[in-house]
Amino acid sequence: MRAFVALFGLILGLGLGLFYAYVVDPVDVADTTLASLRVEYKAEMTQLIADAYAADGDLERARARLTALAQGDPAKSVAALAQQLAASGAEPSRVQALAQLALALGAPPALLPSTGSPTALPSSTPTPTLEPTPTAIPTATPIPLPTRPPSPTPPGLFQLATTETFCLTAPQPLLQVIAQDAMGNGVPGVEVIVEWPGGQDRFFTGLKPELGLGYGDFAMEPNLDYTVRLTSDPAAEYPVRPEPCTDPNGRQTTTTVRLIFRQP
Amino acid sequence: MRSFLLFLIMLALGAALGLFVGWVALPVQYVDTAPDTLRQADRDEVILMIAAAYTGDANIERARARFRRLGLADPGPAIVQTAQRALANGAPESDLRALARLAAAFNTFSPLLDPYRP
Repeated sequence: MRAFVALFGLILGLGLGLFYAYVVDPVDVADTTLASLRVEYKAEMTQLIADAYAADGDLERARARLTALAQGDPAKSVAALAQQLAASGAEPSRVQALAQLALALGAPPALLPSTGSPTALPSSTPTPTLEPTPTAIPTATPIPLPTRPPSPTPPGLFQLATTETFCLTAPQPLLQVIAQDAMGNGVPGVEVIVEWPGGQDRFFTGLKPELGLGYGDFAMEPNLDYTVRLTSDPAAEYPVRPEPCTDPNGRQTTTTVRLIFRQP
Repeated sequence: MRSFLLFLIMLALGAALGLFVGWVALPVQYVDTAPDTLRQADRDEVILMIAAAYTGDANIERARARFRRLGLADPGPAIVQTAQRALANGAPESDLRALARLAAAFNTFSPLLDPYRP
């Protein structure tokens, strides 16, 4: 009987204590860590880390700061944010800072958006020789814009907004397609048809969400003529041809082509 | 009477155990938090980043907006306090110079930062 009373008292006390500690007076929302920040704040912090890196060139410090944010692979997370900001039309200097950091962290140039001419890191950079040279430089190679049908595009369909070419150091030239809604947000699930003499393939946007919801790509062969169409508007054809080019390091490679489609 | 006393003792013991678990051993874990709840060490790191970024872009409005995220409408005192801790922790001189520059941009002056002012 006494043991039962003791056990009952203990369980009742434990329950009351837990209720008080978890419900009535829980630990305050203070003393949180960078890792617990909401996703959009983590993006802001990533931008801040990139801006600080652009100023001080301290890669190890930037890496440690990104690790504290706990977003997985730092290079991929920074590259993905650069892509997202580029797709949303953010200030080029901010995209450039992110791209520069992503490159320094080892992100493949093919994952990065065009950022224009890279800005040199400050001369106080501790290990300047370790800074890779950004290679995502848009070239002047013109790609003919496709002729659009004269009729207005029905709602839900996409119009080609921009064609960009890059001379990237990549094993294979890429066809990158970015589908956006009228506000510039990525649209996943857009089916893209790629045709070339003797072949055809399809892919969807959104299968690489780390590069943006509206992003999709296809590895092309050099010097081959391709025709790109969207399943939602099969009548509109967009010719693409990866051309030989010389990257900023003087290496011969082939242009990567990016088509950005936007809903009107 | 003895049983009731035992009950009270065990009740208190259980309550103490419950409080220990809820406050210390397994406290509530907050996720999706905002920067204004960051612990001091992380807040200092963010302020150092803001100072470094300001060194690069000299964009005072951007720095001000970033401080607002930390819940600091008047960033000056926080910058000086961060500098105090940075100095105590043996931070590199470049950090202190960046903090001094940022503090000056917010019209905050401290003898501590005078040697690092540009």
